[in-house]
Amino acid sequence: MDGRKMIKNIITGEKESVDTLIQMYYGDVYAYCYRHLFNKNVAQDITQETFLRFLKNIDSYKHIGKLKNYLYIIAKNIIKDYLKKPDGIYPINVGLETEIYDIENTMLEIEIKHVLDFLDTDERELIILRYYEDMTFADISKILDMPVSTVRYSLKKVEKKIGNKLGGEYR
Amino acid sequence: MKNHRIKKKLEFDVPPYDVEAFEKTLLLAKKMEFGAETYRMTEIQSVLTQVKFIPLKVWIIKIIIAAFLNIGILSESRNGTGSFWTIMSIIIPLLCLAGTNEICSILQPNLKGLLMTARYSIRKVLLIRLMLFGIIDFLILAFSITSAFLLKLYFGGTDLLYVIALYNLMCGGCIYIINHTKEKDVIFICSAWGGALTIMNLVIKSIFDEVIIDKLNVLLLIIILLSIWKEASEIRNMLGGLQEDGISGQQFI
Repeated sequence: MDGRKMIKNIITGEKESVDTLIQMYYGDVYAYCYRHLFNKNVAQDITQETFLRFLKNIDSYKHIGKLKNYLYIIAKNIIKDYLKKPDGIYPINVGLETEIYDIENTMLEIEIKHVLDFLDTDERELIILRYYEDMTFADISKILDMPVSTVRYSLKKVEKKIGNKLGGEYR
Repeated sequence: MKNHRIKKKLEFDVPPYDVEAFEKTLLLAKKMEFGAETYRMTEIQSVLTQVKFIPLKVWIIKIIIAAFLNIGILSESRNGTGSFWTIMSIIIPLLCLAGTNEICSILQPNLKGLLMTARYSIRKVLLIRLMLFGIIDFLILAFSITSAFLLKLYFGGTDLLYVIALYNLMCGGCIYIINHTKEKDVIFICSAWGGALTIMNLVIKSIFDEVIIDKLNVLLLIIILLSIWKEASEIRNMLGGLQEDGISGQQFI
């Protein structure tokens, strides 16, 4: 279903469209949050908050492109607020729920987190949107509210920074 | 262009989310009130909105009528000419007439269309307006009757029945006229009905007073019951008419 039509249906009170919206985007928003936080429970909580906040303010929704991008903007703001809290540090998901076959991935996550921690919030956001979400420069510029040329330039700078951090072949 | 070496280096699997977390989000989202639901007004809000829609001139006319009624009662208490019924016969139709236009105006075809886009149904608007005018008139009459009683003007059960009967006759007549005539003629015909009622009352009072005096209470009670029944059926017709237009039962946003 087209995003604009879905929103129209939700505004007129069609509950089935709410189901469709959540089913369509829950996975994407969750993955986006997880890549920021590396914590399954917090990512799930923020994903939930993202959808609830979106529905609560649905009247002020302006269709400027993909609906997913709009959800990412909400999620980004919630993550920012979460990280401002004293206990809102980037945690690593090594809780009891981590199963044996996940350990290898967890080690990889720690390594990647170590690289991402080296970046500031906006740089991290750029990398997540471009490298994990495979977004175009145009979409990233809408989410980060900056010109495409700035996105392009900033990304080059971040890539260089990561290359320097990783050293060797990545420079 | 992406740096593929960096991309490869940063790759990792996101663990699958819990189905419980997903279902909880669905459940909470369904419980939420958003979009159209947040526009729904409470009953009190609906009434307050309608109060704002009654134009200032209607309030002023009602206040002037109430003032005339009370001046009449005051002068009657001083001069004692026995004209309490005469005052009531003139004032009550006027009091009722002062809201007819506001009831009639929402039944115009153009406004019906406009109200389809409004926040609540036209039936509700109509009922709230009828109720509002009923309450305002009741308060004015209750205030006047109380002042008449306090000024030791003769005031018995018959007078009270007379006020109720006259008010119901005027109201029932106006609703009947709204239902059965064209909008542009309503005020004129309602005024004529008010005038006729006043004259009829005065004539009956002056000519047949002695004949009917023994059975007056019973007669007034019968008139009250019949007029209430007629009023109820006319209001039902009015709302039924809206239903035929297909715009009544909906909850508009």
